[in-house]
Amino acid sequence: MSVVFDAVGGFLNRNRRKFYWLGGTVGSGYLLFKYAQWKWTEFQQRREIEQTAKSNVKRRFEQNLQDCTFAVGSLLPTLGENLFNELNVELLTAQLQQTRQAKTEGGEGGEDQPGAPVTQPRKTKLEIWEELKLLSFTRTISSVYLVTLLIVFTHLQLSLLGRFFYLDSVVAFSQTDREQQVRGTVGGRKGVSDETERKYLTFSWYVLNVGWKQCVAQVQRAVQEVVGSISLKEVTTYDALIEIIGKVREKVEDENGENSNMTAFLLPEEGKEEDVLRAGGVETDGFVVDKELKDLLNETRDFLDSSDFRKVLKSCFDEAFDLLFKQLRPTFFAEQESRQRSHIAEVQEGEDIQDNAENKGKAMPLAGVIPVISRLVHHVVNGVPNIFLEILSTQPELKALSVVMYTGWEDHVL
Amino acid sequence: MSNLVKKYEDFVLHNAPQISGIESGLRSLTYILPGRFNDADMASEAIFATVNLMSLYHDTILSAAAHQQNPEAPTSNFNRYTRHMLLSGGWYKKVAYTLTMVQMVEVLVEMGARKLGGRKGRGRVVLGIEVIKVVCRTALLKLSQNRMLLHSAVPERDYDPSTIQPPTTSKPGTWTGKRTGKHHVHVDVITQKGGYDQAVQFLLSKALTERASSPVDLLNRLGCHKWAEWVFIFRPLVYVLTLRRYGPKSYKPYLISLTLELGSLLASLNRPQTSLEKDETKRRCWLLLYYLLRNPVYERFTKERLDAFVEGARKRPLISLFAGILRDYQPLWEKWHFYTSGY
Repeated sequence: MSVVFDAVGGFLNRNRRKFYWLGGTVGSGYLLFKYAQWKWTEFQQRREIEQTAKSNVKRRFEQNLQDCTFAVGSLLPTLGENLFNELNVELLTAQLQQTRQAKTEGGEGGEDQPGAPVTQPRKTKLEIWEELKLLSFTRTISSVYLVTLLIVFTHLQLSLLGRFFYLDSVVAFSQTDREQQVRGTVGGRKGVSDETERKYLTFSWYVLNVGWKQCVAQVQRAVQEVVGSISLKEVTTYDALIEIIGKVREKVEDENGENSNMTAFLLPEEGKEEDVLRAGGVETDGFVVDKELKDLLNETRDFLDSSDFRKVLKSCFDEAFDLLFKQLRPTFFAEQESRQRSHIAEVQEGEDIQDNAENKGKAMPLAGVIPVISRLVHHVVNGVPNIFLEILSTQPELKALSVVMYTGWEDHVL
Repeated sequence: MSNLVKKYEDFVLHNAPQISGIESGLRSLTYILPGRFNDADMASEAIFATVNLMSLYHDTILSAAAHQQNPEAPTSNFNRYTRHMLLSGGWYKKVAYTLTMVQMVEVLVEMGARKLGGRKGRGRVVLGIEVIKVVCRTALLKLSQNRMLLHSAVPERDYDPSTIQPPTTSKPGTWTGKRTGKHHVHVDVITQKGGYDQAVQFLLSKALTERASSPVDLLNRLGCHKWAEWVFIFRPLVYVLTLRRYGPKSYKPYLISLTLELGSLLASLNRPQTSLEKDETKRRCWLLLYYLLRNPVYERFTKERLDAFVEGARKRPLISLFAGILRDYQPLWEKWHFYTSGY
């Protein structure tokens, strides 16, 4: 036995340095490996936290966008009601029908006979027609503006509130691994209280009850200027109609330069916010604009004043009016398009489009277009599902602006 | 003068890739220089300090452009905090840059002082630099309302200068709210390359991993624990003073310094910390390794083993490379105070 020990001992002794080296190398190799492993786990954990944080912010933001669509949807009936009551096109149409009935009962001949014996009802009828013309254009164009304003404003409102809900969610999210901090050492400021949230949302009362009238008045002036002089008998094509509406838009949006006054429909003048709270139905003790609410309103106003907001609003208007024009198209192109559809198998697609572009569509007197225009308002405010709301809610620039609003928790963003 | 500065800044903005090439070229030169020729150390250190100062200056020019071109690039918590503090105005920026520059040139200054003023001059300069650092750090602690000091007061470079395009417009990337004074990014900036998809990337880059809507919340305000920070700030100065009093052979400076540092560290470890603070504490733990390189422990313990290791590793592949670097740098930390004590 001892011989074996001696032999082993001798062997070890002779190769001591080599064994030291071996041990040292293996040992430090192991330590290095452990260190790398530790670093890797740390990296993994960090990445996992980041991934969770990212999916959290994305999910919440997208949910917030959906909430916007829903919220606007719930406000639209009020807007529609206001428009239908105040700009009662249907009443005028009924009056018009009454005069027609009266005429047929009275045994009068053709409607357009000049110098007919009974001038009184004829004149009234023309007046009614003129009024109907202006009112139809005003109502439909106003509705497009108002729906767009409501959508954009609601996006701003909910993105701002959503920001605070998100920040609150981060507390809950980081709660699990750092309980001590939640007790209040870090990030002492709580988000927005329920009360402030309710008060802040009440401000959509303003556009629905005050601002909309200003908007309608502004559109009315423009319509009067542009459409007022156009005869009811004027032959109107699709392109001509688009041009007319385009002119109205120019007047409405450029009244004070870069449509800056459009934002005045959305919030009351500074300092008059408490009136809105009172009228908007917040309980009696809630008429005060406290610091928390003031901060929200200030930030909203900053956004409303920004050139980005104007740009986004403009492109939303463009999108909304494009949509309106699309609704008008079938009236002028219905026959051609259905004819083309039947030919679709034979005609090449490229030719098809060319054919379409050259085509000016049907032409009809302005009086014939008016019922179409006035009916369109139902698409804008009453549509189920509302395509204006759906399309505008996916407007990329509006969503990008919402991102800016949503992520604006830092004082310096870049 | 300001015209010249403006011109240079313009030049940097338009030639960012070349400039970063020069920087990294010079930097790699400093890795091979030590021990090559007489005064190579000082030359290398001079280049090193210059490159660092240059990068620091270029960062102030380029980082804004980089962020405007890549708004969706995520920002580390460290950079979020330091950048915010620098932008907070007042004295913070001046003090932070002073401290950073002093840290960059301290070794070089020490070398120069040794050359010109001998042992005595060097001692005075070392003391002076430590005093300046204490003053700066105290000021930063006060200005940040008693928040832990991070290893650097200025942001790290978190972009690749070689990818920076020459600016096409002078349009600023952000706008400022009149009422809130907040800065917001322009919609164009976050949609310039990829439309809404890019905006989503921007959104994701802002995702918070902890409750810190304002970057200042990334660090706790230290209440009763602030003494630990005071200790950490004054520790290097105390070390130098005791070193002057007792000499490098004595264990007293070494032990006093070690005790102070451990005390400060334990206090940090025993309070709830944010992730940024945890990172900083971890880094400070690693700094304890420097105690192996400080006298008298170095002379009596580490040096011998280090020499043996370098000697033994000479003939072995792979580690000989590592040992070679070690051997080249060995004289540096043996000779210069700030190599092992300057942090």
